[in-house]
Amino acid sequence: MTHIYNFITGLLVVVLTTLIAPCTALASEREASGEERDSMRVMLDEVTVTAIKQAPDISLQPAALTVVNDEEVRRLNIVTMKDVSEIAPNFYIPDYGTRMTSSIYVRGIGARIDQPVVGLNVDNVPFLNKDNYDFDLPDIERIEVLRGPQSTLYGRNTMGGQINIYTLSPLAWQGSRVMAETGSGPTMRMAISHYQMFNPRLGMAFVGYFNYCDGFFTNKYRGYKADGEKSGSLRWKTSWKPNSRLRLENTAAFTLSRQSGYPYEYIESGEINYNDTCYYRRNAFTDGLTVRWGGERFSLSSITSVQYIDDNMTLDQDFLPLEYFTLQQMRHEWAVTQDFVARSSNKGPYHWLGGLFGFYKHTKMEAPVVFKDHGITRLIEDKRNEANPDYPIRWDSRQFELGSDFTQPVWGLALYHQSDIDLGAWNFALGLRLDYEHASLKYSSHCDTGYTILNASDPDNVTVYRHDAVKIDDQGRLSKHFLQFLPKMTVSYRLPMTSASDVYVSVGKGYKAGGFNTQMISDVLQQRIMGLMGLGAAYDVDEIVGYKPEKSWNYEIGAHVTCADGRIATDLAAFWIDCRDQQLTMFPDGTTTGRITTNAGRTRSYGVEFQIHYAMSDRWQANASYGYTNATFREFFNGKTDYAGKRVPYAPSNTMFGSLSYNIPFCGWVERLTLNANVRGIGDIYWDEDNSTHQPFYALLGASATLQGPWWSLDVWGENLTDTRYHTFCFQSIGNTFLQRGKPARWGVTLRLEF
Amino acid sequence: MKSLSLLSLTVGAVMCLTSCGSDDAEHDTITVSSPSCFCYVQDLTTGQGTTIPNVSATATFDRSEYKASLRLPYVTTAGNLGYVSGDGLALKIDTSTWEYKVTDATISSGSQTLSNITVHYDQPTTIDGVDCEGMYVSYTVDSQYQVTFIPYTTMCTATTETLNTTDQSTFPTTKTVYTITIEPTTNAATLIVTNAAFASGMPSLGAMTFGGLTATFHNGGYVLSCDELIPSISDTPYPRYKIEDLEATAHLDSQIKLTFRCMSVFKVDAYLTPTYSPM
Repeated sequence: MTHIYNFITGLLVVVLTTLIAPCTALASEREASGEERDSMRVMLDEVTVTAIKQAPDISLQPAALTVVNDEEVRRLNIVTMKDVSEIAPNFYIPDYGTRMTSSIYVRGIGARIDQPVVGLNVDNVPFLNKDNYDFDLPDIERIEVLRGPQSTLYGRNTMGGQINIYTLSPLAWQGSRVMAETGSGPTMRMAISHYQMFNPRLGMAFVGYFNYCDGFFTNKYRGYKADGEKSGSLRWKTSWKPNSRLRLENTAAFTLSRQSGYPYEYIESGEINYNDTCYYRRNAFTDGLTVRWGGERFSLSSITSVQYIDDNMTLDQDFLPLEYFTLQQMRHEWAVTQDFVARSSNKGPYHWLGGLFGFYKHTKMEAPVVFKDHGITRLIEDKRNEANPDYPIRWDSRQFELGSDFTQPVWGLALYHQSDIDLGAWNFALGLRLDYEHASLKYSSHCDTGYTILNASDPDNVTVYRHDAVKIDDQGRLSKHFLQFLPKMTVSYRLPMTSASDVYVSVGKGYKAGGFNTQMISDVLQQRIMGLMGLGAAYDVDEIVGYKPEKSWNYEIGAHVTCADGRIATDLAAFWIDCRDQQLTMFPDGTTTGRITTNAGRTRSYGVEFQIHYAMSDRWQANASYGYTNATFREFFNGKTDYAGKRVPYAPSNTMFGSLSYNIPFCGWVERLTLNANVRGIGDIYWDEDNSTHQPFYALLGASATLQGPWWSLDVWGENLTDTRYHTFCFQSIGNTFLQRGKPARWGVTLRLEF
Repeated sequence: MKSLSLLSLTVGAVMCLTSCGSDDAEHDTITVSSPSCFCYVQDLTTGQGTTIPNVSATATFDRSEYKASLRLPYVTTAGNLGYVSGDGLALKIDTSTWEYKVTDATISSGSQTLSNITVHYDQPTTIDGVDCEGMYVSYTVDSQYQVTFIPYTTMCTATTETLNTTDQSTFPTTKTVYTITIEPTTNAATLIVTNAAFASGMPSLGAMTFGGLTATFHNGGYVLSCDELIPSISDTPYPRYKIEDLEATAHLDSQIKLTFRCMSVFKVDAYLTPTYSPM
């Protein structure tokens, strides 16, 4: 009943923001100025070097697109990609785990492990590793969320969509900014930035950021917060226009994150209660150089990036106050990317874009698993002794390590082209991409332990039967390569309206790269040990660890409609996605333990999306969005159970967002007061393939009041004001179920200075 | 002059024609040998039998002429007294499975005659990750001795059905692999069962070794039996899986029927294909 109430409440807020408020505003307020109306539609202006692959008027792109501008970024306190969740319809990023967890679900397609389904570009630099997607980014100028496959232009791992984030350019704004925030938790954030234009052609920006959060959930066993964090970043951005044709932009960023771990509560007790250390630490560096040369008839761009991640994830993998086992994953990863893009600049009916993209990523990882007393007893000795109680085993020590080291070089090359032609009000576009990728895995697994077999056939005279050493020292090398052809076709028709509006149809292929799931190596090793004792069959490493690409076909019809002199902008879309060779976790044939990642599924996903921006005056502004997705398995047999017809887990059926703002102008040192109420709704979310557990629909209410002066603003805000209790994640470990609660009601105060 | 020219032309034409059909053209042949085998020799007069260790057979199959050449041991109950070869034997080839068969053939060398020769050869394959090939050989020596080749080790795929005598439910599987190893000097045999599955949900076990079986030989195969044994896995006895009333009747040119009871509850019937031996 509660979830129905939440759904209705959320829906009412959305309806109110789109219908009632504008009617009230229209009665007494003046219309929004032309400048404000123009800010509703995002145009690329001269100082925007970025958005190289986008159409000049992205609001008319034949794709489902959500743009969050800088005003909304500040109003909604958006600093990470996760904050955009639900604002874009059918776009959900659950907040759980640590900064390493960036599971994104778009239109029923998503991924928890390894390859993502959504690409992320920051100032045109593609981030290759989704474990590095979650970071705070101050001074965001604009966020674009493109839904539907973007594989033709953006390549690998954009099967569900593409997120483009653009930061403020020093050629667009100059001055200094200070942001200081405190809030419940307690939390504290500070950002200092300075944008300097040395001359009309050269500007630099220096941005520093620090974040502290004590956490909201306490680990009962250890007595401190399980989700505390300290993080920070430094960014140096240079924008240079040596002449009228050439533009360069370089962004170097260093981020640092220290988190205390995972606030997973055991479903039986409702408590977060585990004894071993959990934390996540990450240092990351990126540098992206964009060079653009604009000629009369075409432009050339080069986007080069270097990316480095050094992180350490340490887990109490059982999340219980028992000595089961711990996992550590220490990674060093380098990557370089290079994208050459050529694009026509003429005003004629025919336009083209072509490019060559290449990347190389090199990862070294150590991932030891330490088995401890309780784990040795329950997971090894008990299992073995149940099968042979007359000759039971006793492990030599109450702790031993399964060591695994990996080296993973991956490289890829792609050639792409897109042509489009305007025929009156019609536009026809065809894009093609040929994408090749080669992935290798060099692994080394080792273990040095042992056990004693006892002869208990006479319980009164138990003797030692034999001692067996367990010495494993396996090395191997695997490789795979993938070649994908990725087409996309769109047809759009510009509607005969005064403001730019169109309808479109698109068909496109999406692609998520194959590779190796190194998390499964420890399963292979565990199975080896059990096999030495006579239980279980040995796994083939390539079969267990390797997986093929996932592919999809997306069929979409949509419309972008702007009316009322640009005051109302709406976007609608309906889609159908057929996803094949889905990367899933399943049980191998004939065994009852262990799991592998394989291509075993086929899913079907269909739904609708709607979003509206409504600025009826300089006082009232409303945004709303709604997305519905029905995503089910058409084929999925995991070796034990057939899940055909079941809902795809972790992907929500509904997303909803509503925001209503009211500006009250003042005189003097307070220029205006802005009041905002917003709501985010999400659900139902099924937690498993069996659909036996789920999170019902819930809505989170937020509000803010912002006093703004000529160079300052003071923002008092609250999130989840009704303190709605909900869960963002559910999983199983050694037969136990764990949940992560969503953050409780929070409040804060943010002071911003600009001078 | 005219006659000489005509003669020369005629000779030249004949040479061209005959060169097309000359014995220089290559034949599509393969030469194979039997796996590591011993043979069971039975005196058809007295009924007495004995085993002769380490015998081998060699066959050359001409796939273009459908002919076979064989080299087989001349064995009696006294032992292996040499080899006899023969050529031009009729060969049947199953092109769907590439199984080669020579049946009811006879080869002689002086006073030594091998008759009722049956040779089946199966192409290499992989069973449970092990490369295998198969050859079945049997024949009669001087119309007095019946010879059957028996591999020291046979790897068999099978159809296994298990009856749970408690609830009468059945569990079929084709994933279980059986490996039979025979030591003819002691008439002892060992059966290794890999991917054993007697019930749905049964824990996956390593290879189960059934040791201490007794082998009794007959023309065309053998019988393995054991009243009761404790299987071992990874060289450790597993009394919980006690095996009772085991009997395996092998007809090496067709199938092996294996039955046994496990844990006093599961009655296992398996039909093994005895074609292959590890290479």
